[in-house]
Amino acid sequence: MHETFNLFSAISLAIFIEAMPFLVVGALFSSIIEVFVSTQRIIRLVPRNIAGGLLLGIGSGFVLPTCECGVVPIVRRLINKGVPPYIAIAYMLAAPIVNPVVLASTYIAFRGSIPMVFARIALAIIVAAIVALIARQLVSVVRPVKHSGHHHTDEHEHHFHHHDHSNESLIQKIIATLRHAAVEFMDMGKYLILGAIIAGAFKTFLPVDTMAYFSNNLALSIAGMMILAILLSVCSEADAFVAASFVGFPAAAQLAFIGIGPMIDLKLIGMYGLAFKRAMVITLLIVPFVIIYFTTLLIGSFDLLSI
Amino acid sequence: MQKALHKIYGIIETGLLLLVGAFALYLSLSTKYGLLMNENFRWLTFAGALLILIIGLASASKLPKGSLSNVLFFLLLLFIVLIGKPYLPNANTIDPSEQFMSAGLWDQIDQTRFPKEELRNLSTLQADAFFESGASFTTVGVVKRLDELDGQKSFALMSTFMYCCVADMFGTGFRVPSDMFDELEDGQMLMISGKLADETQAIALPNFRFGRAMISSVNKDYYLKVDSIMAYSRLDQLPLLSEIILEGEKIQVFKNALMKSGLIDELSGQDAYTLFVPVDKALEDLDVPLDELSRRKLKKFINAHIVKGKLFSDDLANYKQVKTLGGDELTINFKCAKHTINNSRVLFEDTEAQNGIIHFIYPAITDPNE
Repeated sequence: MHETFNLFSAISLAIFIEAMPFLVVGALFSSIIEVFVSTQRIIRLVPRNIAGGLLLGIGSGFVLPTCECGVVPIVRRLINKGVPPYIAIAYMLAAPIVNPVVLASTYIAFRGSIPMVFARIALAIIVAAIVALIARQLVSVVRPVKHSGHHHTDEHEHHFHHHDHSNESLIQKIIATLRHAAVEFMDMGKYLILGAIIAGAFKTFLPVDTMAYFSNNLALSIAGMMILAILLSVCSEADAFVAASFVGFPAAAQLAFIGIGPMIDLKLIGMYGLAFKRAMVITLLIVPFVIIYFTTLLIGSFDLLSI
Repeated sequence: MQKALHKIYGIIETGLLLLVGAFALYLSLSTKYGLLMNENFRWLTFAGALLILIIGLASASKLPKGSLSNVLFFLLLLFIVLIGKPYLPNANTIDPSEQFMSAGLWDQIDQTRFPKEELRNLSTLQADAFFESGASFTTVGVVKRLDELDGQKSFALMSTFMYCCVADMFGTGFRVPSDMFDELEDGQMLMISGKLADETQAIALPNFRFGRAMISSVNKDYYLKVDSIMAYSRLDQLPLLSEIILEGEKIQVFKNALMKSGLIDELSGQDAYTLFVPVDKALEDLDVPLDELSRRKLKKFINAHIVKGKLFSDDLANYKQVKTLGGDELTINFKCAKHTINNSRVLFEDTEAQNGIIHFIYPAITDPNE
C-alpha cells in the first residue's frame, strides 16, 4: 500500500512541478498586462468589418497571453468600454489557448508533437469564430458591471479589482506586477493541484482493465475526458500536462480535454453567469462542447492525429 | 475578524509559495530529479523555481490577502508529498539518477530515437514492422523476472524510457532465455549482445507495471538470443570498505590506525564486515593516543569496532548484542531515533560498500573492562 501511495504521490508531484514553470510565466504575463497595458489603447484598434473583427479578436490572443481565469473580467471590461461583444468573445475563447505560453506548454507536455499544437490552435479558432458569430446575432450579451461590491460575490475576481497603476513609478509597477503574479499563481495553482492529484489517482488506483475499456471506446473516452476537464478546471497553461499524463487515452480524447478545458470549466461557468446574459451563457456552455466533441470524434475515428 | 483571517491566509500562502520555489530549486539541482521528472526539463524547473522565488519574495515584502481554499489545496499537496516521500528512492524505484547516471548509461541511450509512438508500438503486437529476425544487437536494459518467464527459464530485459515525468513512462522489453535467469534480480542492469530471433513459444504476458513505468510489456514476436551477458550488479558499482576509509575525510586517525596495524588489507577482500568507525574528534580525546599503542593493542582496539557480516541499521535493530572480531560483546540500542553502540552514538549510518557497511560513531568504543 505504501508503495502505491508513493507512486501516486510521485505522479501528482511530478505533474505539478512540470507544469509549474508555465503557470508562473503565465501569471507574470497576465500581471504585466494588468499593470502596464491600458484597455483604451486596445479599443482604438477596433476595425469595422466582421472578418477584421474576428481577426483582431482571435489574433490578439496570439500576442497577449492570458489564461482563462483572468480573461473573463478583462473581456467584460473591454465590452463595457465599447469593444463590440463578438470581438471580445472571440478573444475570450481563443486567447487562453493560442497564446505563446500555452502553446509552448502544449508542445513540451506532448513531447514535441507539432500536430497536437496545431490541432489545439485549429480547434480554438473554429470554436471562437462560431461562438463569436452567434454572439453577434444576439441583441445584448453582457450584464452591466455593478461597481459596488461585486468581488465579494465572485472570489475569482478578487484580485482583479482595478488598482490604478498609472501614477506609480516603474519600480513600483514592477513590484506590483510580481505581487499580482504571486496571488494569481496561488489562485491557479490550486486547480493544477486538484488536476494533478486526480490524474495521479487515476493512474495509480484505477485497474488497468478499466483504463483499457476507456481507451478502446473512442466516443466514451472523449466524453469522459471532456467532463473531467470541466470538473478539474485546470488552468490552460498547465492543462496539457494533465492531459498528456492520461497515456492510456486516445490522442483525440486528450485533444478534447485541452480544447474544452479553457472554454468551459467550473470556475468559468460561475464567471460567465456573472458577466453575461442568459442566452449568451447558454451559447457559451453548449456550442463549444458540441463542436469539440464531434470534431475530436471525427479526428479520432479517422485517426488523423498521431502523437 | 474576517480581515485578520485573510491576513493569516496571506502569510501562509506566501510561505507555501516560497516553499514550492525552494523545493523546485533543490530538485532541479539534485540527483533526485530523475526520480520524478525527465532529465531534459531540468533547466525548465530551475527557471520556474527562480521565478517563483522572485514573486514569492515580492509577495513577502507586502503580504497579500489570502484565501482559505488556496491554502488548503497547497497543504493537501504538501501532505501527499510528505506521506508518499516520492523524492526518496525506495525498494520499487528504478533510480535513473543513481543506476543509469552513475554507470554513465543514460548517455548511451539515444532518447530521440524512441519517440512515444514507437514505444507504444514496441509494447504491442505490431513490433514486427520495426524488427527483423536475425538482426544483431547490443543493448542495455534492466532485468524483470515474471513467473511466466521463469517457467521458460527466461527473464525479460526491459529498457525503461522516461517521457515527461513518471506520469508518462513506458517500459518495453524482450524475453531472454538464459540459464542465468535464476541468479538475476529485478532491477539489475545488464548489457547483452546477440541476435534477434523469432519467438516460437510466445506466452500471454500481462501488461505489467515495472518500477515506475506505467505500461510495460514484453515483445511477443521476437526474443533475444544471447551471445554474451555483462552484468552490472549494483554491488559492483560500490566502492570497497578500504576505499571508503582511504578516501574518507574526517576519519584520518582511524585510517592511519588501520594502515599501521595492517588490517586495511582485510577490508579490501571478499569477506563482509560491518565497521563502526569513530570520527577524528572521537579519537583525539582518548586517554592514550592511538599512536602510542603497541601494534597488538592497536589491533585489539580496532577489532573492537568491527563485526562480521553486512549489517544495515535495520538489521542491527533486531539485535541486543553483537560480537566483535576481538570477541567482545557490543550492546546495540537501535530502537528509537537515537542509535547507540555501547556508549557511542551513531552519527551517520548505512554507508554501503561492496563488502560491508560503515556506521560512523562518536565517541570511540572503549573496553568496558579497562
